[in-house]
Amino acid sequence: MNAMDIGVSYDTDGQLLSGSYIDYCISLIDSLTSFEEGNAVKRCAHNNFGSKSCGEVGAPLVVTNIIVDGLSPLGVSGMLMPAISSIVLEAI
Amino acid sequence: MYNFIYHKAESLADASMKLKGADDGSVLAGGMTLLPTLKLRLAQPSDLIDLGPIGDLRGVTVSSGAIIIGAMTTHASVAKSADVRSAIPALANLAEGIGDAQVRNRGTIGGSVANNDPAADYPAACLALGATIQTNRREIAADNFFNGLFDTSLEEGELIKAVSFPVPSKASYEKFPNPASRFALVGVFVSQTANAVRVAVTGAGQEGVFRVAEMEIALSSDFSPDAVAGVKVASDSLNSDIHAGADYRAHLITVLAKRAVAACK
Repeated sequence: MNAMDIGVSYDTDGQLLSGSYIDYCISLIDSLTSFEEGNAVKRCAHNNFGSKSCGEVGAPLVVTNIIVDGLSPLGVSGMLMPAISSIVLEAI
Repeated sequence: MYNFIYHKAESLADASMKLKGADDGSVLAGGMTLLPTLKLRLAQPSDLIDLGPIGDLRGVTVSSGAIIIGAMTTHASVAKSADVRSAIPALANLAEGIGDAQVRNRGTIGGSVANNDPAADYPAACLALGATIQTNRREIAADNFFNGLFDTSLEEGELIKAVSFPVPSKASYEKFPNPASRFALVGVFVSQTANAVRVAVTGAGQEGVFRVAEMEIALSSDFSPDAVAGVKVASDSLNSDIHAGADYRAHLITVLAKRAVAACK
């Protein structure tokens, strides 16, 4: 959701603008295409558990990197989340 | 939700009378906007007059050169109607793309048109197809019906009976949905008849649905996607919100108009 659909946003008075599901998008069954998944495990060398910061959700970053990767032939090297259509167009 | 008195209307005349008798009454069609508004306590009508029991407000009829859709016909019924599908496929497609399955099975064409939400789909169809809004008092051309944000020419106690759509030679509706609500971020409806081309845009205008004269003129002499490719709508009067800025909406109008012309059938 945060990667592709909409971010949490506030106006200048601090009013939440994405306060209901009319504005804050929940990903639906048709939001993503089908894909194969896999894990690439690299243990952290700096602690005994081999863990990188616990509880961090990596998926939005992965999705954003996929988009940037796909757009790299057009010269896109980075992008802020969420990758909504207007932001993608601007990046290109 | 605040308290209100609930009434079942037996006919449009009955609904109009009950509305007149209420302190601050609201008419309930499908309720897909009104009910969430009540739940959020954004409105406090004294009375709710439900048009649901009025059976003759539902259904599609075909008359000479027009499709007439009863005010209480749901979006799902319009999408499924073989008559609409064969006469104006663009209209059936539009109905099929409104909200989600739940909304389509409750929401009605009359409710959508009367509410004139600036991002609703039906106002674009009404304006681009040159529809006539039939009420319990008169007939109003779509060109004279939509008066800006959530405002229409309906007078107090005036209720929509049906919407009559002249069958065009070709038409198409292209919508870029808001990913969250599925309302139109921008929607462009293009129609061609024997003597006119009409282009209507919803979702983008600060004052709701509007026609794009420059595109209509360009398409009248050359009905092709290229004819509108160079026409840009000025962004000053367009909406800007967390989903898209005015410039992006202006960009989408041209892109969707091209697609609509290409898909016209």
